Amino acid sequence: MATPDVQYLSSGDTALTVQFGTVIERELNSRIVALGHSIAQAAIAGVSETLPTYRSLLVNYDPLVVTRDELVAQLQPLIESPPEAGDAAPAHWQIPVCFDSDLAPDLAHVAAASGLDENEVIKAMLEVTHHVYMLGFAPGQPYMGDLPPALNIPRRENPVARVEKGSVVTATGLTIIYAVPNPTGWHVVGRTPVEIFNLAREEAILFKPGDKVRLSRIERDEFDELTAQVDDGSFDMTRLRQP
Amino acid sequence: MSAGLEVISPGLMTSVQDRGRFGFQALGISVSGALDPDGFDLANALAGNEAGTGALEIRMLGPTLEVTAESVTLALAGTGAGIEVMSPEREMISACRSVTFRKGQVFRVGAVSDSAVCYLAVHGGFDLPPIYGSQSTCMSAGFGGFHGRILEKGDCLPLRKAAAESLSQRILRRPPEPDSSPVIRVIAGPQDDYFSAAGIETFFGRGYTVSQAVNRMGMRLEGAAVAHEKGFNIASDGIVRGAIQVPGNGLPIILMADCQTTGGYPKIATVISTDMPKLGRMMPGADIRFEAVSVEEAEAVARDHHERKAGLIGAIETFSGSVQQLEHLLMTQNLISGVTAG
Repeated sequence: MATPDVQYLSSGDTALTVQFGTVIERELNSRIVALGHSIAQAAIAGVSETLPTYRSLLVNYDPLVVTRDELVAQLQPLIESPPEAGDAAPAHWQIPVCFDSDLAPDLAHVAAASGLDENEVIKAMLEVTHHVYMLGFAPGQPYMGDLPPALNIPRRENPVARVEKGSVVTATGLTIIYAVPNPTGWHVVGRTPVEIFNLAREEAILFKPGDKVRLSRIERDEFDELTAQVDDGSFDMTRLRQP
Repeated sequence: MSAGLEVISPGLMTSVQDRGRFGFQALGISVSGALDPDGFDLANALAGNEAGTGALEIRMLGPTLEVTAESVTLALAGTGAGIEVMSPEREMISACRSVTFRKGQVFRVGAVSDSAVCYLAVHGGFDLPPIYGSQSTCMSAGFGGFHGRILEKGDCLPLRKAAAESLSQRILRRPPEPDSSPVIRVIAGPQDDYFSAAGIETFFGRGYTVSQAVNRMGMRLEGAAVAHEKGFNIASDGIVRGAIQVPGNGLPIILMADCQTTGGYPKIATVISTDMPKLGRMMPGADIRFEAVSVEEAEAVARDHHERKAGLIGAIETFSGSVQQLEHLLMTQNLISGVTAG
């Protein structure tokens, strides 16, 4: 495989943004996730942690232990060597989502903006096997893609102050499931009863970068029932995992 | 109720913080931690703690606390303000020294006017479970510290040590001079190419003022709008503390300790690690002037800063005996040094 055209951008004196490109693309993203694993295995002195995003890897380091130039020299061979398989195979998930209008206040807007009708928007989201590009913004919150081109619609002009946890939102051809209540600049098109982040659980965070996620449609009665199970702790998390 | 410190009044925004939560940013977990790591480290050293022990971060108006443990040794640092003992007798204890309080004593840290934040460290630390390896409060996600939130009236902060171990106290006789210069040093990038030449000139040439919109996540600045050249949306990438993002309105936002791990606005520059404590201490209305430095310069500055800090902590002296004896000793020494200096 050709060595990607890599740029080293300084994020201050404690981090380096290793940028593989400017577009959101699965193969690029997989290389970035893999580089994160190789850096962890290489255990470079001074490197505290890495953070993979769509198209770059943020490498955090202690400038008292390693300088930027020394770090780049140690990263270079890792970038040039073929990507190693990650430390864990990607998991496959199926996440139940209810698209009832009170849980999906922006579905009509998304339909209008994409030229589809509401059922076609839902169908398109259900048909995609989402790739988890990255976790960010909040604990365990997945940024996933890619939806068909019609759903490549802009974000909101004015963010809304709060959406509930479990909100399924979309914009720019991507999907996010909200981990905790937060403001959003995206469009809310559904909600899952599943908590993708819960510290009381043994596995507090559900997804990891590289995982595959499909959404499955549930009706309101099932949404309410599953919400009750999540609340009383009887919800069976294993049903979310696909073979 | 376990013995510790009971919150009689919580202050404006008091939270438990340590150096931060490292190793989990890839999962979307923010780093958090003390906004002024220098004041934080000093408070811990004065309290006789291992570096990095969780302490109270106090914002502008401090809490009133009652000792419900047998006794507790604590120290305040990062400000010139002192600890005001309310009962049984009123007394002022200056910052930058440790003091032991007994059960039933009530004390407070009042209005702090010389810094946005300061730190109250208790000897032994708080008996709070680390979450992802840290006691820092992550308010945006509601975990860590004391129940994932700022302190409220009636809370009881549990202590790891039910009683102070000895009467010896620590003091730093020459507290660090506050740096009042508006200069904040930055390294350009990672997305300085998203801004026009005029935009870059505005950013470095014109001064900014810290707005009222300041919290542990970010600091919004007021001043001249920075012109973009390639729009203001990027494919989200990783964010570090100190990153300066410029959204559509052109007004810079400096990301602070509780900032989210990723973001989609271009970042014109990043504050160097050495200047982050100073930035954390800045209050609304403070002036800021950005100055560009190279990575090599920032690395040299970081090494120098580390040595100075070690020197400061090394200058902490230990005294045995009561507060009154200590006062007497200090007064005598001041007189002597005054005489010899004269």
